Amino acid sequence: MTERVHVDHRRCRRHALCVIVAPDVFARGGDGRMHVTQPANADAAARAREAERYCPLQAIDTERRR
Amino acid sequence: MSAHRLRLIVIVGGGVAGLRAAERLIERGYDGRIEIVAAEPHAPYRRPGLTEGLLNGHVSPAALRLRARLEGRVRWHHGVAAVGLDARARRVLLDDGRYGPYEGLIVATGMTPRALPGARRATDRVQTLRTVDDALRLRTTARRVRSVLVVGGGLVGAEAAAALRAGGTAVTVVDIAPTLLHDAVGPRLGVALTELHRRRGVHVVTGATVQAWDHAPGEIRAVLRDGREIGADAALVAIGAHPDVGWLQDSGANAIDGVLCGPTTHVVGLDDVVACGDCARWPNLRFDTVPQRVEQWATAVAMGRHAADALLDGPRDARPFAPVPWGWTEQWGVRIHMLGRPLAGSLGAVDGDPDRLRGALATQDGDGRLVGAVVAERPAVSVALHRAIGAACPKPDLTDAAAWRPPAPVSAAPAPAPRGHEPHRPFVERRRTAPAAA
Ligand SMILES: Cc1cc2nc3c(=O)[nH]c(=O)nc-3n(C[C@H](O)[C@H](O)[C@H](O)COP(=O)(O)OP(=O)(O)OC[C@H]3O[C@@H](n4cnc5c(N)ncnc54)[C@H](O)[C@@H]3O)c2cc1C
Ligand code: SF4
Repeated sequence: MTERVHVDHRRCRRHALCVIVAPDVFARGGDGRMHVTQPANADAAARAREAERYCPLQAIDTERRR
Repeated sequence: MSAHRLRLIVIVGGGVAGLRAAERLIERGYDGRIEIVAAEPHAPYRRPGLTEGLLNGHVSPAALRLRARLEGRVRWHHGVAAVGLDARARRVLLDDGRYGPYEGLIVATGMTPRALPGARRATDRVQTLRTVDDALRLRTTARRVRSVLVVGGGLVGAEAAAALRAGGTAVTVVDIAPTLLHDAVGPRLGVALTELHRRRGVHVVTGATVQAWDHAPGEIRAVLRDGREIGADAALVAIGAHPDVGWLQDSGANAIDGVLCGPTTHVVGLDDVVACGDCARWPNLRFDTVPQRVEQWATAVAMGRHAADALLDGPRDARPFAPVPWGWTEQWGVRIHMLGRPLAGSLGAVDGDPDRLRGALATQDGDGRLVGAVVAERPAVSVALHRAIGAACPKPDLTDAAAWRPPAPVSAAPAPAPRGHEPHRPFVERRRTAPAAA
């Protein structure tokens, strides 16, 4: 069972709070959108989940998927 | 690890801080009971979305609902308010006559809007804005009337003014300060944002206060101190809010302007009680030792999580809560970030053109440390400045937390339960320890 981090670009307002909380997962791409690097380890995954809880637009989803 | 094993944790307040605290307890592997006492009848929702979305009809209340991973572990008591705390008996007294016994307590009751003297609140014509019900009522009113007077041009007032104006309502904002958002973003961005509102057709009256109200039938007339009169079909009073901590009076806690906490979020004067979110006043040792409140979403999330940790770890082992505050507001599509303590000194431009709402201003404290910044439409700069403030003002450690002392004598030992609220039955039975198998 893995987690897949996903940003809903219609909801995201590109505040970049997720970059502050989990810089190894979220980054602003050249197109201005938030780009996701899927977490490489458990620590990064935990930070991604934390970013999901902070996101003011609730645009991040880290639901567990099989 | 746990100073002692808690089996029954009560959270008072079902906003984002309380919700994130519950989520963190579960994440930490706490396997006792969690009871949340929540005055509002609704599941937790994104309060900032009330002005940025709900008011101008872009989103529905259902879309504001907060997701959380609670794994079915939380028992909710919606529509129930705490009215007192008997800390000696470890009971939260409830407005329905019951009480909630606890072993650990998390205070997360947020704030209530301040009323303006003379203005009858919660009528159709004079409203305040904090809850989803407030926002829905204001939206209904705005659709029926032509003009709204907004008293107060802070974060809530200015965001609401933009939303109402965008929806076609004629809006006047009256604020005592020289610009809108003066106490949130400082004078320079304040000027730029005031101009932005004016360009979009908001009538902004600064440096003015409402002295008297005239509730004529079908109309409101506000008389300003300088004698001017402003007429409108309805009014929104947005002059700030005060922490909802009245229920902690006589509990042994200091609940004068928010509940006083130590650096770890433990409530000063009480055992096994922590607080988080808008209602908490605590010293952020990263900056100084003076207890302060922060009314920001991200701080409420962080503090909810931290308070859960602090409760489980106990006062000796808990880390100090010392975030670099991160707040935002969106006005007419312009994103503003407020980092650290932007008003601690005078703000100077450090990036771009802040006067045209594309750039950043930063400030230092008396020791020359970078302590705060305000950033307009520059998210990448905001990330860099947030990191730079964190580097200039390093995280305190356990020793710093242990050395902190409350500023003034805190009130005496917990008083007995307030009279008139004699609780007669608990809302949850204390779990009986199963007799040890022979
Ligand atoms: C209109 C609006 C717009 C905002 N916009 C922004 C923004 O753009 N950016 C930003 O950073 N912040 C913003 N904020 C601030 C942000 O929403 C708050 O910082 C955050 O909601 C605080 O969370 P909290 O859980 O501490 O308090 P709250 O969200 O207020 O939750 C507290 C809950 O406790 C309940 N309660 C109170 N007393 C009792 C009692 N005695 N018993 C039981 N329950 C009780 C209340 O009913 C409430 O539901 C905004 C706030 C408002 C009102
Ligand atoms: S925190 Fe949320 S809104 Fe902000 S950039 Fe990240 S995903 Fe987008």
